[in-house]
Amino acid sequence: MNNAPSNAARITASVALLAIAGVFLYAGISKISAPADFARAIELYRIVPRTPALVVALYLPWLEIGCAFAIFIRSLRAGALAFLAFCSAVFTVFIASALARGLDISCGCFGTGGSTGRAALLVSLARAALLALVCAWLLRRHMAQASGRAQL
Amino acid sequence: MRAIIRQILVLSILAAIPALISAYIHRDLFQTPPLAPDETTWEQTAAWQRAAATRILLIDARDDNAYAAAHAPGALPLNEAHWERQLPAVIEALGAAADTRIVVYCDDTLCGASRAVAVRLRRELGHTDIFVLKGGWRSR
Repeated sequence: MNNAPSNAARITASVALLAIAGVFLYAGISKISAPADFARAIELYRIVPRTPALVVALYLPWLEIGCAFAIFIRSLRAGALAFLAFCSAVFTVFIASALARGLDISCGCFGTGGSTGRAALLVSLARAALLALVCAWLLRRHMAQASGRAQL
Repeated sequence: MRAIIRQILVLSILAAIPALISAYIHRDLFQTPPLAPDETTWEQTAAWQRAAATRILLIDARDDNAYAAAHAPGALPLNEAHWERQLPAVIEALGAAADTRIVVYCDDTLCGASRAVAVRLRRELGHTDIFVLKGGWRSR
């Protein structure tokens, strides 16, 4: 009976890991084929100019895919989760900034063709914030388990 | 913490390999794209105005506040939000002269308002000599 809560937490963590990997795998794949469109989506935030936006558009999808796979490799899981939590936090700040400035853009999170407008951006903001929190929780849990194993 | 940084470095290097290949495949993206057939620049517009062979009508497709703050000399405001109110002045300025060339601008390369206004003018007025000013107001 005492194992029930830990089992529930373990199952929740496993499901969350799968979900995070799936979301970022899909996000990466959806942006790889059209870097110009993703670069434009980044540019539309009016935070970074064209060349840095292009570099991010060419690099970030591969990092997202790499991290999605690395989540399932125990020796790389912490790094992948830390990077994805950081990324999601940055996305959250970008989207909040766009909302604050009244920009009528789509988030660009899953390539082009996303909905524009304030309501769509609010949904993207909530999703990015949730992803950041889940990644941070999974990272914390993974680190606690790793330190527990090290003490044994 | 050190382990996490090391893992992020490993992931970054691994991702850099396909990213570099992708950058090579899409290397043309780093070059400035040439002007589209219906695009022009401030320099070209000024040259057209100097040549005086063609009458140029500048259309400011930014919002009313931006237009009120500053606009190109002689430019008329026309944005989709106030289309019905602002279009008559444009039609009046066009007059009967068939050789008037319209140049539409908005804020910068990222705004789509100038292209949207150009498309709508072509559709509603049947006027074909319409250019979109690449780089917009900020590139003047």
